[in-house]
Amino acid sequence: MEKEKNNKVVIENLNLFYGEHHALKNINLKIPEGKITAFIGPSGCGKSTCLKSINRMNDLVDNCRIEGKIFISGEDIYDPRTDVTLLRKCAGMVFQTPNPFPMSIFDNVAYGPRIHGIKDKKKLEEIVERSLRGAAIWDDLKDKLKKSAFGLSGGQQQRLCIARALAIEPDIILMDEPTSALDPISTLKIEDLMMELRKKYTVIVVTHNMQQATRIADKTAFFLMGEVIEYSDTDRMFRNPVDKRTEDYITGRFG
Amino acid sequence: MDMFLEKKEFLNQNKKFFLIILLSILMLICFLLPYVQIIINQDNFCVTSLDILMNSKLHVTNAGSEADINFPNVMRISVFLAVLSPLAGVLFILLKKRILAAESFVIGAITPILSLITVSDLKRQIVDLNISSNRVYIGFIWPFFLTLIFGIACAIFSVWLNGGEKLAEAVFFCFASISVGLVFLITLYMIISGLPAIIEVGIFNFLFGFEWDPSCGKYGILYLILASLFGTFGAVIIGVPVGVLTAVFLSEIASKKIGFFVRPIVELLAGIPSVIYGFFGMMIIVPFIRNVFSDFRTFSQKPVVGDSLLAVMLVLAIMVLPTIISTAETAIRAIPKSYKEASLGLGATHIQTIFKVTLPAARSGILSGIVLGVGRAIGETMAVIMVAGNIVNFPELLGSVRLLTTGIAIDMAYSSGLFRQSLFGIGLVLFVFIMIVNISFMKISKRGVQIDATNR
Amino acid sequence: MQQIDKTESDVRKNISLYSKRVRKSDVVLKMLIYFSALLTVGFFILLIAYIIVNGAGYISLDFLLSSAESDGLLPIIINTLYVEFFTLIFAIPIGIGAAIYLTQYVKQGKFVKLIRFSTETLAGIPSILFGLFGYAIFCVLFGLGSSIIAGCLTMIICVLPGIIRTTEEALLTVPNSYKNGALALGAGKFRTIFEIVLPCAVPGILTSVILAVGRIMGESAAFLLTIGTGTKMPKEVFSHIFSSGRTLTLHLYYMSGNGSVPDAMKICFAIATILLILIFVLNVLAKLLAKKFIH
Repeated sequence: MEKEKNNKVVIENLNLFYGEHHALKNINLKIPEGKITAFIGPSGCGKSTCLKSINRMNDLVDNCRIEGKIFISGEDIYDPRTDVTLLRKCAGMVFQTPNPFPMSIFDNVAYGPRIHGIKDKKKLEEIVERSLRGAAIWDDLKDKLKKSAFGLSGGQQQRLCIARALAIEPDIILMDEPTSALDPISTLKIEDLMMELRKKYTVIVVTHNMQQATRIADKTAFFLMGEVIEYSDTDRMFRNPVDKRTEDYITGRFG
Repeated sequence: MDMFLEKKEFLNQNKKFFLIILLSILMLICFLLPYVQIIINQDNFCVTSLDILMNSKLHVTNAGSEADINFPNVMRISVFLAVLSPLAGVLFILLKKRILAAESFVIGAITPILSLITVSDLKRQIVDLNISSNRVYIGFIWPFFLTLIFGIACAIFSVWLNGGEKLAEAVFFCFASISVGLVFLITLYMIISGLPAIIEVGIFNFLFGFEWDPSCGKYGILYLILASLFGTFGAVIIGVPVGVLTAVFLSEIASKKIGFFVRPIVELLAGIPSVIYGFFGMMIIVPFIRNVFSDFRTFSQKPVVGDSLLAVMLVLAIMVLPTIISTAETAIRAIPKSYKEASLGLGATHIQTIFKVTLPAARSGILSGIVLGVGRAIGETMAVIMVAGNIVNFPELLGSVRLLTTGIAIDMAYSSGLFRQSLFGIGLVLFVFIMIVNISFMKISKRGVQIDATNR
Repeated sequence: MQQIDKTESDVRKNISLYSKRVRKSDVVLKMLIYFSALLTVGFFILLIAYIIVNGAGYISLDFLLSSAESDGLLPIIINTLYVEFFTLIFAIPIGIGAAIYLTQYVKQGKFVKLIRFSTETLAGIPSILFGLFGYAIFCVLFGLGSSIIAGCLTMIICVLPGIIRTTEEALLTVPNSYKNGALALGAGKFRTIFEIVLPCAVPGILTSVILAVGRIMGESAAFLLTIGTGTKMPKEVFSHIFSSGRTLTLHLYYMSGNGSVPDAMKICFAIATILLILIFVLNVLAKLLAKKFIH
């Protein structure tokens, strides 16, 4: 019972189809609260799709059909009663390439709170500062909040996007290969930030970089051809994988 | 390299060279032949180019009275160039500067056109001698055309000396330059023909005068300007929200099937001739306004007849719709998907995303569509003429109005003298408006491109 | 710190996801969007239906082919064909030549910028100003009077920017590899353009011609000042271009304000119907060509 309570996200028998294509096959995952969980696997294995179904971003794709259940804090997010905007507020997302809005830095971060109805300027400023501090970028940006977000470097833009996700006060942060478009130094900074975030949020990260998974993740799920082959503590998986295919992948024989 | 053209070259270098010299000599001989023919009351005066160059006046005797007619300076310069340019052309050919030679031959060919422009000036001088204008004929005789044709032929031959490829490029270049020449010519002509009236009436009286009554010598076009501005403004106020929201519908909300039906409708709307819009306005909108507002009176206590500024606004709003819709739709579609994903990922609804992210990001494209629509509205004539009522009034919503464009179109057929010149003055004012709109459109759309470039 | 965060997240947890709600502002905005689209489509249907219902009944072969001087339509149709023909025969070579220069010879530089600026400016000038210019230059200065040829010369200026732009787009879609292949085989540039580039761009060029046909057919303001009001049948094939002759659009305009002809309004509806049908056909043709173009 105690163990159940600590699982923030529970995926049960999830099947997902893009038209005829069976993209996710019978996924069962229990993702613990306050930990970093990494999804690894070769490209096209369904790890991003699985991540996106946690905040229902897959709804946007035409002819996408989902069977099975995903529970967040015990509530089924595919229940017809579920408010999708509230769900996405609860599970913030950071994308593969930094995608700030064409607005000022301040407006970028304040965008989320504003659409969720916060109009008070003082409060907004407070949230922006807290989020930027949370994304460890406040000191860099505090003097140029009114400037366009496009003037920032790629790494700064990605941290800005993380700050933007933090501003809506989510419980879960979903990251879809957040460092794949960045240089190694920016990548390290983002990884440090993720370790920080773990203290307050449940983080789920998709990565194609196994070193990254070993560096940051508490638990790791290995995806192959739309299936979860293996899911366990990161250390255990990388030291002695149970499945032959996992071993082949992490030793670099394919993928 | 140019095997294909080499084979087809039916003139060798020497023959081309010989032809150029021959045609140049003919151009020079034309100089000595009768050039302009002036007939006043059956009296025939033939003037050679040499006369024009040597004497600045033509002595005219007519029905006992004698007078001098000055040759306009432009005409004298043009015949001077007509001599100089073939000589220069031959010189350049001998020096093997073929492009320069071609250019001087082209200048030689242009000279007849230059002297054409001066005809109205000549004619006015003769009319000033109390001779009725329909008894005066000014014509150009065949040496005039020969100069034109020989000049162009020489230019072609001198480029051809460099081979067929060069000739082809030169011809294409000429075609491409035509639009430059046209813009230059139109601007020049608008100013030349529009300014006299504005100067004569006085720029302040012309632009800010309240009364337009050419029969009493009153040439104030303030009401026309205001009517044009109000009409355009109204069209934008009505057309922009509908247009932009329809564009949103097409790009963000409509399913593929519905878009498949709606998009051709927008394209068809853009292609429908303006007279049809005018006719529709005349048959539907005008009676509608007349019926709905039948109990109202205009400020000047006239009954509402339907032909009104409101009808103009409505018709123009419909006409700018397709422009705005298609530009706005293109702009919205160009917005990267990642913006929308980011916004939805933060828990915004689809509609919030459209209004808070997509539309602001597409604003420069939408703005350029609006400016394009303004240009279209301010220059529209035929549709407006059929619903405006065309009485010069202070523009009020339900009263009859006359706009800049309709002002030109209505009076052109039966105006003369200063009245006609003042119509060209209106044309100049309209031209200035259009150029302002044009240039701001180019600025905005260029800025849009730059913003898009930095976004990627 | 940890403590506070825990309680905060506990508070958040109390908000259930099961609270689907609809924002009022979203509903209002969505209704506005649908309303606008409906307005556009509805207006279009109203316009088409109104004109065709009133006009279709009056169209007959007799009506189209009557050559009576006051209300016969045949001379008007012939005038329109004249205008189309003589405008296009000048405008197409010039437009295509200009587009070839801009895409195949020189692509950058100050002069090309000037050419582009001029073309864009020409495209933005309203036709009434072209009419004014054409009247002053062609009718008065060249002494052509109000005649079909003066109208054609004016119209060339109107359609030129459109033809240049569409042809340019068509030429740009021809892959450079085709051209380079021909050039590598030793063909001259001119030959390459005529034998390789132009044939590949034919559907696009045809589209530009069709658009120009539509533009000329729908034009009225430029003709109003330059082409006169003649309604006579041509006496001789070529000299007809020097006589005045109104086009379909102008005929519609003059008829709509003419009370003396008994069936004036019916004639207007019929002409409007014909114009709408022709525009529709041209649009469909352009669409089909564009589709072929993509393949």
